Amino acid sequence: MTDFAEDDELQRYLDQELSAAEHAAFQKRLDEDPALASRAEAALRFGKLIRLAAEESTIHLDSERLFFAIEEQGSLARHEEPQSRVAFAAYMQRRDRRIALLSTVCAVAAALALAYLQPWNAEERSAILEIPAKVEMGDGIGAIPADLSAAERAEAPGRSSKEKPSRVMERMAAVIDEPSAGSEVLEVDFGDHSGTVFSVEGTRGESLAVVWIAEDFANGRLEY
Amino acid sequence: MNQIPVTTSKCIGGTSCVRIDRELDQKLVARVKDGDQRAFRQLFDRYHRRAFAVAYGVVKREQDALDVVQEAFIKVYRHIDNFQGNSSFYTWLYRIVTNLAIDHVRKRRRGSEQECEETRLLPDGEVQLPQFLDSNPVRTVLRKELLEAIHSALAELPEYHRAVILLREVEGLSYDEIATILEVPKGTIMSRLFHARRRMQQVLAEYLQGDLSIEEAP
Repeated sequence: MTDFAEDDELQRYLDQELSAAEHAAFQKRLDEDPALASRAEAALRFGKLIRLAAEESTIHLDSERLFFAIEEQGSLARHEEPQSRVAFAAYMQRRDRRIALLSTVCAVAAALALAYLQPWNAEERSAILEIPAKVEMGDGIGAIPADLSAAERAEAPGRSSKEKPSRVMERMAAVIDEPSAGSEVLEVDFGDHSGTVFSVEGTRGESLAVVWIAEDFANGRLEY
Repeated sequence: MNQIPVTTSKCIGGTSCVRIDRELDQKLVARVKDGDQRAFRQLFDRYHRRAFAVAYGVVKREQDALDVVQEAFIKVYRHIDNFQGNSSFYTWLYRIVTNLAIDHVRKRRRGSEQECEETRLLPDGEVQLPQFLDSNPVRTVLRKELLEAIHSALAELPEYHRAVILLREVEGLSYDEIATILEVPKGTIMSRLFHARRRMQQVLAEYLQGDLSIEEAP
């Protein structure tokens, strides 16, 4: 038998993985072969050293600290236990439903408040709502195409809007600086921006709306 | 020659001991399922040192081994309702520990982290003093050298081989149990164990001959 095969059998003998008959046969060979017995002793000693190293590695193990960490995280994870998970999911569903209901109520309330607070009459309101892509403005400003703002920007590419407001902005500012008699003003919150809606009378006596949107910039506040 | 003592593990490797452990483990697991925190603590007390020894043998870093054991017991706690008891509790626990430890090593390797020499820190951050200090400084030095050689030899093995060696030599698990834990055929376990032992025995040859009397605790 080669050393390789013999070592394999020796290991299985020491690991108690041989059958009873194989075990007895190998034991007999061990008794008769001092070299094999020496290898068996070395193998046993090897196992002992591994266990020694393993024991040594746990000497300074702080069991209390480790269990505390486990307990802390384990208790946090209790929601993930099957029974708790069902209750937790039901709770989340109820919460989502409440949030959806509250959102709807808030939206309706906001719409009602806006309708109540807005000052224009039906005629003016319809005029505002009918502001087309092409906006006409009164007080000598003249008709302003809806895309004029972009065209204006194209006139001075790269120009900072803070350095020089566009002509449209200047015109709008003029309107706002000198609003027509009877102009009505509504402060509006657009979300990211705040602004003001002016109602002005056009050259033909029609109601027009001018919207002033304020935008914050890093170096100050620019209004256009 | 005298009969070679083949019982290599302290308790868990012995057949009767395993049966007793299994029965106790089953009772404790049932109590944990019923929400008994003290039973979980008992399971922790029974296995955390062994789990740490296996984890440390694979990951080779104390803090990483602590993380592995902590994560393993949290998994046990979270998923104990799914544990059917078809296999023993310790087989299940060691499967979790070894999988986490091997994953840990792979992640570390993928992260191209430099393997550094293990620095042991006490809870308050102090560097640990040499182990087993006793009145015999020569024995202390030899023992330290021996332990370093063992850890070094273990570190040279692939992580799967390390796990097999530790589960067999430290935990005294059978080939079948190790195969179940590592989810590979029994033949693969036998092959890994054989080659890992041969390789380590070659590296540690000088410590396996004669009687240095340094492995006994002072």
